[in-house]
Amino acid sequence: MSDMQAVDVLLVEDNQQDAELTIRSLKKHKLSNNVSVVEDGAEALDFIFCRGKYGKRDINHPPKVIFLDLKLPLVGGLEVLRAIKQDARTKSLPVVVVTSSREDPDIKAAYELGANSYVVKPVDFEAFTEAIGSLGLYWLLINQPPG
Amino acid sequence: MNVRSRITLLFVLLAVVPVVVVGFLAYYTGRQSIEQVEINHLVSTNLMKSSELTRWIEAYQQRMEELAQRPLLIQYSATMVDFDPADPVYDVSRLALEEDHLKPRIKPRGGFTEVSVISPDKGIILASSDEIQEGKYYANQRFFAEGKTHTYTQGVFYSIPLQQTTMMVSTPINDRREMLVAVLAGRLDLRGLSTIMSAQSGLSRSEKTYLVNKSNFFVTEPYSGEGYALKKTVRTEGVQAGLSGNDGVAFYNDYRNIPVIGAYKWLPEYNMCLITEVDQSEAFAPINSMAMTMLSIISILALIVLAAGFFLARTITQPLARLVAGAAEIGRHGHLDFKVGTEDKDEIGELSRAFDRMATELKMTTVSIDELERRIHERTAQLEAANRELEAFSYSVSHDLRAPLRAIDGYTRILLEDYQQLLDDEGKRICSVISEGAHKMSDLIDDLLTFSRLGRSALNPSSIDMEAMVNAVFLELTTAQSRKRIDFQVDPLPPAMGDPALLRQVWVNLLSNSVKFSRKKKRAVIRVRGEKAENETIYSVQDNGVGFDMQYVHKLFGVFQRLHSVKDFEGNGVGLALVQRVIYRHGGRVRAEGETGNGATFYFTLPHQGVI
Repeated sequence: MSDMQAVDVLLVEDNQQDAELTIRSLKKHKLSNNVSVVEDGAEALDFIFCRGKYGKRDINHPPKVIFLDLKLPLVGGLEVLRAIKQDARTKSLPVVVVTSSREDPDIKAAYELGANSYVVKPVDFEAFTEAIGSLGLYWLLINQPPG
Repeated sequence: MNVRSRITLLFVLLAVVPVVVVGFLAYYTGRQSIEQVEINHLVSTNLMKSSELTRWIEAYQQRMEELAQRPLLIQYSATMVDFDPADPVYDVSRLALEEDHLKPRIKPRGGFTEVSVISPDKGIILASSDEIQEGKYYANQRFFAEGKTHTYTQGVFYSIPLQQTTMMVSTPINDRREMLVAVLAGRLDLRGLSTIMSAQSGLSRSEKTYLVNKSNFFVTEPYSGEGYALKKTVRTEGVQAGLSGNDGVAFYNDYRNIPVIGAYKWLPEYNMCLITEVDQSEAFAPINSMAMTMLSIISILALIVLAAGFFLARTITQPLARLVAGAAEIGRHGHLDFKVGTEDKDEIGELSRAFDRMATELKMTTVSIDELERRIHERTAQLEAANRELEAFSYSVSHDLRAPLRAIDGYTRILLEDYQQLLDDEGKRICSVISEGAHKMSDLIDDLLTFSRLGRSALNPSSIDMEAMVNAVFLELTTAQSRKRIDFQVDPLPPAMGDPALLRQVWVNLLSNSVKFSRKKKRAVIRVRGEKAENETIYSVQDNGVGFDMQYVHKLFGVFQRLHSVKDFEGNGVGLALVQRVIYRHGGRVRAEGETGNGATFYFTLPHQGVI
């Protein structure tokens, strides 16, 4: 798995345990082939817009789906979402907000910025595995991206 | 009419009306008395003049009688009557008569102008002081006929032969045997009469007295006329009244057509009328000048009072106008610094100062209201900040507290899945306890967040059909299976005004409690009631569940307070605290009754008016 290659899933998650659990869940559903993990919002933007250490990436080969946590260091999840949805090159990218927050304002703001889905990470591991698995299945296999 | 005009008018009325009334009365009584005085004066003048006239005539009559008694005159007269004119004795007698007796009687001023001896039979003038008259006949003259028997005065008449006005006094000349010898006649100089008549009484310039004869001719010259005597006629009211034989006084226009007061008196013995007149303008001059003075005084007084009233009214209306301006300034423009500012000691000054004090106090009040508003803004800002902090806190809690729990649960599962063969049963049990703890903690976090959100979010009140809501919530909380066991009774419930989502949560919590705590009963009974009181509606949920000990009732509504073990009844002690919080926010109250083993009843009220 190389960062420079086309990826299926970009996981934006600062919590390493959550990231590990997410990848494990995807793995359980045999969807973990091309998963890239970035730990903060700034890195996520670099990755998506092929900047900085991701400068060699081809913007024309975006991830199939972005799993985005809201509470991130440096650049917040909602900022990342806004940047993606405001750029013509990336605005059709499916972004699934996967977060612990059940707060109404966050959900509303995320959808207003163009989030494609909003999923609250369950505490229960089985429910969590189920949820991540469903998301992966849907966005990677069932959903038909444009172009 | 404004106050100023009214005060001014009042002043003028108060000052001028009494003066006018008094003035008129004074004028009226003054005129009356002057009139009376004038009338008395005129009447007495008339009396005086008439007696003077009588005396004047009587004086000449007396002179004539004395003359007629002179023996020589009698003798000469008799001689002339008895002798033929051709006889020398006749001429001697005539001469002696003329020179010694008749001519000396003629005075250049006044008195007789002509004295003659007339023959008694033929009426021929025998001898005269004026020789030209001799031989003339007086036979048809009245004074001649009357003079034969007694002294007679013929009133003024116009003598055609003489072509002049004249007055004759005649008296018989008798001898010692009282036999008529001749008639002595004297022609009187009427200027004397005029002098008497025109003699001023000295009181008034326009006063005049004159005589008018039966034919309306002036007999004596009136004061302001010349050559009037027996040439001009006069037919004024006074003259006509006098010539009708009356005495009296009248107001009329005289021969000059000037208003006069005239007194008239008929003199029957002379067939004449005596008139004394005075110009009304002169008679009433004093009272007229008094009236003029009075009018002037009234005019000046009115002007002074008008000015005084005007300025006095100004002193009243000006402070009032300033008050009005002040009220407008404060009321319309809100200039609370406005001051009427007066030093006046009167009631209006007092009012002005009270007005100023009011403005000052109003300003202080307004200032304090501003201050209060400022503080409210400050507090609101503080509260909003606190609210934002709370929200941020909730956010952190919801986000950050969950992640470790998820890790605990997740890794415990991984342990169970990946290291299954290394763990014995006790190890596996411990793993499940860890997992349960994590779940429990997650529920607590959720409840805590709900509880805190309820305290912060704004209420959206609307009308609620409580009965429908209760039935819907009950169906949601129970399964068909569990409903078979529960006797659920809902009385007709009054509708309520409140936040539907929050009140729904109240019903959820109360009904779920009832279901939960009565589930060990074979036959659970849950009853929901509602009734309207005066100011509020009281709702209640009663069950026949395990109940509680009333000595712990105060702990019932506390957060995380539980009266039963989790082993018997699950739950984390947030439900009733949440109910209380929602009801408090609606301005209502909560209450619970219960008995261990005999069920519990939970009451809450909602006020009819207003939702906080």
